[in-house]
Amino acid sequence: MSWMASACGSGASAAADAEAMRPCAYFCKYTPLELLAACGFRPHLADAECAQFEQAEVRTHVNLCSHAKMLIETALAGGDMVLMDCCDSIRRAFDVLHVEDGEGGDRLLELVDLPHDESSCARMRFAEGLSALAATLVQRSGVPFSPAAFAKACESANGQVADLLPEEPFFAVMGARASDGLLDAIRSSLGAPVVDLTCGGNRTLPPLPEELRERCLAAEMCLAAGTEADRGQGDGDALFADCMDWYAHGLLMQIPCMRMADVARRRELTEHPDLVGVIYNTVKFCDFYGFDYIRLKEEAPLPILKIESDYRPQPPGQLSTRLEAFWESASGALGKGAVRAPSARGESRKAEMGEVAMEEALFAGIDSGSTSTNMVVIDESGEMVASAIVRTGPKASMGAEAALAAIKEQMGERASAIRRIFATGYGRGNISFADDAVTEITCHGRGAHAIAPQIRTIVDIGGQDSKVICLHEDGTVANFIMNDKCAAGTGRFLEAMARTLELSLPELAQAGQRWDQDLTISAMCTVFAESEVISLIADDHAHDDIVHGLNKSIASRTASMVARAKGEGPFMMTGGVARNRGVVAELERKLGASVFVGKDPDLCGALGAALLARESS
Amino acid sequence: MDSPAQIVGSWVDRSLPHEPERARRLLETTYSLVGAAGRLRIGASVPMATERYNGVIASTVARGLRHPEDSVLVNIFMPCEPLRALSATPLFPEAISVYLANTCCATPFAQAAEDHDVPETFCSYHKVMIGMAETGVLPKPKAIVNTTLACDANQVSFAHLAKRWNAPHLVVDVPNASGEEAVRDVAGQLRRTVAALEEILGRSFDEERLRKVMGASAKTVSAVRAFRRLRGEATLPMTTTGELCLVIATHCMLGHPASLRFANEMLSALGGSGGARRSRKAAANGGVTASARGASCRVPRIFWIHTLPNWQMSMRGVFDGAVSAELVGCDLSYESLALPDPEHPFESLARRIVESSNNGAAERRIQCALESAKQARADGAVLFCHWGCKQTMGLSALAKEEFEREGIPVLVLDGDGCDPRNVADGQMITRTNAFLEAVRS
Repeated sequence: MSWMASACGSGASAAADAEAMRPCAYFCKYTPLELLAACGFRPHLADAECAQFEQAEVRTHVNLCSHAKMLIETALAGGDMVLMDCCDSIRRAFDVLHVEDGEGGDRLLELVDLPHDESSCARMRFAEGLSALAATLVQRSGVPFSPAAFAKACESANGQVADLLPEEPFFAVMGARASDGLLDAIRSSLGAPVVDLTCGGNRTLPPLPEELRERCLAAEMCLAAGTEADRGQGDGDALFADCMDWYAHGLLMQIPCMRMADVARRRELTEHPDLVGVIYNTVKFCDFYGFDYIRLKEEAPLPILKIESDYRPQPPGQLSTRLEAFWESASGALGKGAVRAPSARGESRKAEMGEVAMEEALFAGIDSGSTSTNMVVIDESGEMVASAIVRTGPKASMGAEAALAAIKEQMGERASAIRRIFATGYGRGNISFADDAVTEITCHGRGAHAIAPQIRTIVDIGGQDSKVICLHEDGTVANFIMNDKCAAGTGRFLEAMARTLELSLPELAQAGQRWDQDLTISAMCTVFAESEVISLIADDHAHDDIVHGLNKSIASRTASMVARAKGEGPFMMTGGVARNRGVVAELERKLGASVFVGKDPDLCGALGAALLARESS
Repeated sequence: MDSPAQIVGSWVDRSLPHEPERARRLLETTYSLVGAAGRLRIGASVPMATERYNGVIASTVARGLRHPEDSVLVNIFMPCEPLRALSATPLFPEAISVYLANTCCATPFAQAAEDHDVPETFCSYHKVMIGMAETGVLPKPKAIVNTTLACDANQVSFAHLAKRWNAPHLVVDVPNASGEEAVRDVAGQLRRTVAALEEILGRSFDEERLRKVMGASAKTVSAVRAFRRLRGEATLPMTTTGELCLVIATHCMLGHPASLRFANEMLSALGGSGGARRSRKAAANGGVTASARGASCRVPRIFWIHTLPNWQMSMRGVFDGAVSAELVGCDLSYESLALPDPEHPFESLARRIVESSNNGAAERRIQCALESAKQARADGAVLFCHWGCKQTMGLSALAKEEFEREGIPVLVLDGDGCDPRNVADGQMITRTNAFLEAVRS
């Protein structure tokens, strides 16, 4: 094909005129953006979240990668797009859209084969693919390939990853692509610059070689002057071929994404001395980056927080708890204290309670959980002087008020000596009388350290989530992992099973301790597990045996979390489920170690909050 | 009372944390016994042929566990004739995981992989293989070789294990396009792979030996092609295991004499070739010709898309032996039946993977499966969405639409080929039976 034979000055300038260019969505950093720009298109990264994946799931399957489902939803709204053959999910997304559009559809929809390595054969094959794409682009846009626009677009690309980094300590988002909404949420939760080093943000292209750049500019001048015929057709084609050969190599030489065969150069992403921590994003049903996370965890001596997103708006509580806890534990590297400066919060409470000038100074912590709200008051020596456990009810603020009322009732006038209150738990942001809020991860660590300083790993199983928190010797958080997307292995799971078995929770806790037949509940999902329990009931198995199977199931999931967090003994269990001796016994068996349970396992988080309140005053 | 498989599974589970070598020996012994039992099966009926061939595959897995110095870990789409020519044993995740599932111990290995941060949503076949490696039960093979064809899991699990073991890792990158140029490219890569394996294994490669292996492959492929062509003319007491055996006979075990024998026995169960003779032969080998099928004993003929959960007793109860439904084929057995040419071995092997219906657009795989289903006179099809397989899940809606446009109803069935944790058994059976009732009506 002749790339520039039909070109004239107007074609070239059209390619350079951004306003006149057709917008074209892309999803992968290997997409030839500079080629698109040189052929009359204006590429833009599609990264918006979707409220639902209704249409994508009808056309594919609910368990397809969320990024691919977002792509389908975006594509169905119309517009040109160029996809790279990155993975199974994207390939199938293209298949579905291709069928949807039909042959000869109005919009540009292309899939470009992407090699898995950087070998010379791969480079040649990729260059051919780029040439074929260029032919389609030129045909669709009516704009001939502009060598000058290509050179200009190459110049404006980032040459290397270092160009993306700030000149001060920073956090990096790494792993799978992160939506705009997710990046905004991360940036607003961390008190230091955050750089997007996912595939959406770490695109680079080496500088166009000077000789090639000059040839591009010269060719453009010839085109503008209408002298192409004088130069001979072969020159234009040779220039285009040379450009594509270099370009294929340049694109393939980026920091490899995880679908590439050799990913060793990904290490460069974490070698910058100013990088203080990594938020590692994985996308639901995309498995590539889970493996990169394994490598990073083993090799990079950095605080790492793993999160999972799905291109839908994140429930704010779940994400913020993780990010804030990560900031609390990682901010030490920046020389900043974990707990924020005292805020104006709590002033109304002080006015109401009457801040009496008393010799005694008390401090309180309130843990607003999904099931219960727990409050602890300590004196200056850290001794607990009062505590309350109430149902959270329909609103976190109502549960908090009820807990405060219970404390006031217990303490009478003495409650006026409470100087500072720190809130923790999922509802921590909605407690108006608290002076400040700290995540339950930091609070559990602090509380557990006060109760038993030798503890190195806390297993906290609450109503709606389970956590494993690993501690340093001083009780600060070394790392943590949370499971809050799925009810399996949480208090809710046990509540659901108790209902199925028609037992109360105390009865369930008792039943699991005496059993005859060693049953196994294999389903990971709460709904499937419930169906499995119903089958066991139908098979006339004893309640004790079934409950033992359930306890094993929770213990197995929890022990797996401990393994992933690389938790080491001594172990402690907190949260309401710690009262279930059957679960604790199974967990001990799985871990091969004893698990310490304090007198009031529900109060550990509130105690930690009270201790942090005391330390901040 | 626990079955022998459950007892072995329980022993393996108990040995895992502290005695991985004991667990390995238990599995190795069990699979060797399955192999020995297979050798005792005589006769050419479908059940006998299946058990015998199943024994050969089990023996291969046992040998891979016993002699890691001779084993090469591969993906199922990797052409293994060169390994046979180099006297190396191919081990692949699907076989490992399916045998573990049938020994009631895939779950602890899947769990072990997740304990090491392998994503829960990852393909279970690969996850179980990784768990087996992480626990120390799967020994380090001499090398790891995989193609990039068809499955994302290949891109990460083999690289992960290569790093974990510090084992040599070779990748054959398959272009997402058919054509002679792609064949030449892949043939070149295969040649380089074999040259590297020569060095790694410390053995010299004899192309003449490869030609002989390719000769057996060509005969096997011919037999399978004929089997596919004639499958619609008879009823056979196929099983989920039998269909899986055919998948393996046309992939990693292609070129093995046992694969040729199995393919020939399957073909002769249909009567081989020729009309009246076919009827008599089919009857003798456990098959019943279509004309001999009475309306009263007619069960739905079901074509299967993707792998089969042969560990699941409830599903075996429905599909094994053609009692309530007859399995009339699996698309993976027919996904690439390019006839091997012993005179051009590398080009033939390259053509097999480049022209695979799993390479490229969904439409290719759907059309290949649809053609096979029509030839098999399928009344319906089950599209099995094995846990973590995005390729298959992604085309499920398209395949259902295209099959049903051609009058073949499709059940999209979510399940897991080896890990019971991802299976709601009761729901699966209810959906399957409801589908069969609808097909019958």
